[in-house]
Amino acid sequence: MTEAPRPGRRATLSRERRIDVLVLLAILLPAIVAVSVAVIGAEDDSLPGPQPPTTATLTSATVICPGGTSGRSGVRVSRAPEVRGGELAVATAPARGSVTKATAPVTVAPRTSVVLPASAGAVVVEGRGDAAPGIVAGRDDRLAVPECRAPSYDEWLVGIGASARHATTVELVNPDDGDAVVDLALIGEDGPVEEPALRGIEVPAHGVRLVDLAKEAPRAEVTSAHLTVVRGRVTATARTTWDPLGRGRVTTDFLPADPEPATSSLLLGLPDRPVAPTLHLANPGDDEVRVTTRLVTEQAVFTPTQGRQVAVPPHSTLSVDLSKVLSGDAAKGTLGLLVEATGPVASSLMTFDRDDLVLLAPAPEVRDPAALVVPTGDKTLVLGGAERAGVVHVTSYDASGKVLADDPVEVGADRAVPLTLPARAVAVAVEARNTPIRAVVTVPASGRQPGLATLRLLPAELRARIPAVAPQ
Amino acid sequence: MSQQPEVAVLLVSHDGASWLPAVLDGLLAQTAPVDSVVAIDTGSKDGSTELVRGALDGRLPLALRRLPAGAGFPDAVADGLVTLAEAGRTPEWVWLLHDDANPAPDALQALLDAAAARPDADILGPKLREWPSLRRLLELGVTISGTGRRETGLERGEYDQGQHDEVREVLAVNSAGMLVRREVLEELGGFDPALPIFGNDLDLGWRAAATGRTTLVVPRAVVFHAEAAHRGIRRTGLTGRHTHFQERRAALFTLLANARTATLPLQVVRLALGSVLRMIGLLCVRAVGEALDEIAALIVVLRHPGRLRAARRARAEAIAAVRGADGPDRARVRRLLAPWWLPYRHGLDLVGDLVAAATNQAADVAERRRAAAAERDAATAPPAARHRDEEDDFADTGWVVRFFTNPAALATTLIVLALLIGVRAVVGGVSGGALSPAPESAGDWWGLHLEGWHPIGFGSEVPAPPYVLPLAVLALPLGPSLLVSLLMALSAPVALWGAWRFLRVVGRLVTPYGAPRWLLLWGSVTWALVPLVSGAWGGGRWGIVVAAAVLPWLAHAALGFADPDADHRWRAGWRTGLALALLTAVAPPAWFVVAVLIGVLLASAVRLIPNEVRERSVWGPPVAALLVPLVVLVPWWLPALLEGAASAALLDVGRWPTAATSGWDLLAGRLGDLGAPAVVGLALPLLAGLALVPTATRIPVVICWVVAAVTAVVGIPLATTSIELSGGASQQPGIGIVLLLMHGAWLTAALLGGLALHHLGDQPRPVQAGLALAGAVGLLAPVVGLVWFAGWGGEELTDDEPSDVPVYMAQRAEGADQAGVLVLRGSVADGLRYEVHRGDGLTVGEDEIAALTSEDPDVTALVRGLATSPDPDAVAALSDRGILYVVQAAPADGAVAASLDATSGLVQASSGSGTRAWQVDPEPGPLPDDTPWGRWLLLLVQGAAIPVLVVLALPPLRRSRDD
Repeated sequence: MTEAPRPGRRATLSRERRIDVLVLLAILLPAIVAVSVAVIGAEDDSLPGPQPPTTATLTSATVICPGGTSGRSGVRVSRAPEVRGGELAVATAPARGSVTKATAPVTVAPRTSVVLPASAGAVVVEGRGDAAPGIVAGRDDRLAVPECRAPSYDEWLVGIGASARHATTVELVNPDDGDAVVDLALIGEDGPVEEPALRGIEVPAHGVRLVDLAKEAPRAEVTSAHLTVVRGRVTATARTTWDPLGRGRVTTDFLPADPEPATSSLLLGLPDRPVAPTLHLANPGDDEVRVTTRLVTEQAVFTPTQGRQVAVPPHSTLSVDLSKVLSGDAAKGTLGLLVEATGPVASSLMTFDRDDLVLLAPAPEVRDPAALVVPTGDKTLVLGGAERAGVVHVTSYDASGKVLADDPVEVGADRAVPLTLPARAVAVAVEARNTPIRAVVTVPASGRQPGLATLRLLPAELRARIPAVAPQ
Repeated sequence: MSQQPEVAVLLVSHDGASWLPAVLDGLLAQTAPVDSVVAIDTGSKDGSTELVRGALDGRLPLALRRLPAGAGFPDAVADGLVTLAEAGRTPEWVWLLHDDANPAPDALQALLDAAAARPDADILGPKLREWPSLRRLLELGVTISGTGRRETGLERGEYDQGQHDEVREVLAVNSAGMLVRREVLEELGGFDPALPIFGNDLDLGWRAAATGRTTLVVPRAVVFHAEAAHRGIRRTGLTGRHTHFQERRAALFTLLANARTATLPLQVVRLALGSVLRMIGLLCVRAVGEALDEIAALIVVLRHPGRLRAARRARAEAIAAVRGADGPDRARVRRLLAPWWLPYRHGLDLVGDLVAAATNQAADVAERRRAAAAERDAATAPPAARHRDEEDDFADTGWVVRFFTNPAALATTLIVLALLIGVRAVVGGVSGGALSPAPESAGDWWGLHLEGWHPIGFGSEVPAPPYVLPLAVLALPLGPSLLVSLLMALSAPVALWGAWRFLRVVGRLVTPYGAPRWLLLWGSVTWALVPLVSGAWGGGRWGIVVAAAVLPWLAHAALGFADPDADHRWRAGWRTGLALALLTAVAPPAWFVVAVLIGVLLASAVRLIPNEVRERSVWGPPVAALLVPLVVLVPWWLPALLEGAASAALLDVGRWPTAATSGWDLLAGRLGDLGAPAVVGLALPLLAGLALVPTATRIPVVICWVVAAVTAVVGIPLATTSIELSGGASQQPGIGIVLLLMHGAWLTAALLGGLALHHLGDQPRPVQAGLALAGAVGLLAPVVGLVWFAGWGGEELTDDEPSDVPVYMAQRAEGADQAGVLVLRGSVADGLRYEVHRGDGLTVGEDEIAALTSEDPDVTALVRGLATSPDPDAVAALSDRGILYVVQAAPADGAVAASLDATSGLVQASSGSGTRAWQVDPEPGPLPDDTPWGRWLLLLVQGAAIPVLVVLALPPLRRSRDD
């Protein structure tokens, strides 16, 4: 009532305002879109990646030793550090026997070791409950010491022979009540090799089966075998015999398995003066892989001037002569080889030390306290593969469990450290702090038949790994 | 003049004062002499009798009869004949007239001439023309179709141009203006009193034909007929309020009373089924009253079989009296009845009408608004639209000529062909990317939709995705595989069509001339390319592809909100709602985005035009459109909410996870890492920005930008969150619809801005150059997009890798739901993943259920137990959950395999290299299969809502026959 309407002015005003609003919107709206787009920015989908397993108490463990090289060979059972120990079930086969039979159980307390009676043939040691974690076993053999280990399912045997001169025999031990089946897929220099005889190799329950490749699938060239367990559980051990056919000494060594092809592998335990060293490389991939061999000494890891890159064609095995690389002055004091590749390759080294065959394969990484049963006599522990500076405690025990030596060893990245072990030591506990390590024990032999045996330090089975399970 | 036969006129009247004066004038003006008139009145209350008396008394020999109001037309005629007989008059001919049938002056003469020329003729009828229009034809003789429809053989509202002017024999003629030999009429027993108002002429004609009488229609004789009773203008106690009921009852009675005895049972069944079908049809066009009349008429006729029997007996006796042992004149009747295919032809016409009405209606929004505006302001006549309709421009030429002389049509055809070449990959089934293989049969989809518990994985109560129902319906005739292929192949052409229609109306809303055709073509082709260039097609994200085809139709329907007529607005609301339900089914986040858009637009409307918006028919339809999907999709969203799978409402459909889309991708119209080079997609926002420059179209362009901006803002929470899926993967919510809406808005803005290109010559030179450059960019973008799509668009759409499940297990699994295969992948070191293969694997519609079913900790623990240590109870648990086989996919982790090997009750089964397999012993029994009543309730709601909404959304097809 009090305010008189002023239509004229209001109309002008609103007209101006409307135009302004439209222009304002024309600027504001694209700006809102631009800001929204900027706020959204880049978005990522999180796809579920690999999920590491959790661990739980190990309630069941099996360690299998293949037959020894001599009829007097015996198996010594010990324990990794810091486990409780307990009664172990034992099954043994006579030397070259084909069936393991249960024998009296043994009780192995921590830090002690027990030699199993009548254990020249294959031996199966099983622990349940508290007795399961940390079972360690080994043989006290000369020149060729086999590894005692848990069943594995998928591994590589690189550089095997199937001829009279270079003959590999695979020993398969089945610890279980059911049959086991193993496939051996060979790849040669020119690609995969079809060998029907090596497919579906059956190992009866509690059986020990020897597969002599020279008989089952004779072949002149050196090959590599991808061993897969198709059914059940099996421990496979390859034993290679070099026979110069009357022109020298017949010598045997165990070929350690390479658990999986890798882009970087460390082969430790090289003899001082390796004779005719040959690096065998197997490339299971679809692409050519270029491999560089580097030498590992106490001081450094370096690429020798004679060393050159080699190319391994896809799906094939390649043998590389390292004589020149390892014979110069620069190669003096070489403790190991670092094989670096552009793609995953499996590898092994074959060489001779005073006419004795020496076979080396990549040493596995060890993160937890581990132990090793070693032959008596002079021996050296070669430690390498540390990722950073750290200290490794090496404790040597004699047969009665007495500590012979307790040496802290300083390790560092890109070098290897040799440590002389007491001659009487039969068991060695290795505890690395701050870094994972890789280790091999070299056991030289002298006398009428001199030579060298090597033994890798394997991770102890301490805890069960529980996979992370999720729906897909 | 030769000797004229004697003619008596029977004039029947009932409350006909409106028409009688003219009728009486017509009677008096007859050139042929009338010997006497009997006027029968059935209880008129409007002074009809006085009118007759006043007009005829003293000018013609007149007998005036009054009958009670309950007397029907047959009674009146019978009374008239009695009156003639009592008066001692024996005219040769009786001429029947209704009080609303006005004869032309020469009508009687023409009829008599025809009778003289054809001595065999016993009944003659005139040409009936509409009164008061006088030019339109009503009837030239009638017949009856097998379904009881009164067939005139005329088009609706056909004008009389002399096109039917030959004397011919017909089954019956209308009683208005019927000239009939008195003896014949008496011999036939007159009209049947069982048919008081409607259909008695047909019945009489049929009886006459059966007794061998000839009925002729004489087009030279013209009678103007108001059809007062038929149109419901005149309501008597006999017609009641339900003329349709009376007409149908008469038709059914006529058919059943005159049909051959041999075919009678069949006829009854056919008419009953036909009536039910017609009832459904009438319900579909919202004619509820007539639908009820339809079924009531059937019931009334069938409830009194005695009356029918009596009628049939009377007819048989009459025929026997005339023809003796010859029986009825079947040949004549058959010749004169309507052909058998006529009802089907009408059905086809109806479908055509339906489609035309459904597609044409909203196109008129612009015109109706303009007409309404013109009504308000009569001084400004609306200018003609540039192209009101294609048909108008080339009305006189054939479609081939029209097609080949229309560059837009040619270009469209070429582009559709190019699109179809681009989608060649769909031939023979398509899957890949986010698109799973189609199931084996439509029954699988029906099962998925209906059941409350799905045998997917270890069983799931997550409801089937909302699109399963439309797919199940469409797959009934086509089959799932072909349907999916067709969806992928035809979405682009359908999107093109829809965009054309939408943009055409938009153009006409903005300028009276409408947008030029080449601009519409550019706009619709660019739209059709949006989902293709975005990579949605190539990535198998079929929901977005289909959404792009639905969206322009939805937008087209939503334009109806601006209609000046409230009914149209409501219909637009239902239509938009149904389209939104479909859109939500294939792109669930669409509902939220559209809800926000409608909210913002309504709020702006409240601010700008508060008075109009307050009206319920203005704000109601958009709100109704939002509520429709909630009702229609209730069997999906409600159980999903209860089952903890509510995130389904935010995810695009298909197989997850898919790559996330960044803000830049949204701007460039690309989805994740798919799609054409970004330059192609950036053309639209660029052009839309330029479209803000011309002042003439700035307001509509700003509205488009409002849509784009609101959508972009809604897109922020959608794009930046992520939804956890079963198995630890996460997925960005679906922003396909955000992309489509933004680009749709920009496209519309660019098109409106493009209207400025039209007056290029008037602009200063630099502006001309700028506009030309923008035009070139606009032209180049879709061309590059089309080329990209034709060449590389389908590269991602590769079939899936072969399954890990051995063939024999897959076959066994297809046979029974309980023969599931538990597939384990991965290793102890990297983690184990499990899934269950059932039936034919995860198919379209099942992926979402599998991914949204929350992990069952018991099952995970069971699998973990199996993988780590042998557990004697595990096998029984597997068997209970419908697992027959366990498969460890290559490369199998030996540690897991060894544990499974050692599990008692798992028997080694054969498998391919690298894969391990076991069979569960004992074999699992059938899975539980009960759908809770709650599910049925929801399905019932859906089942009832969809037809009701469809009927509400349909155009008003039920044009009355007067039009």
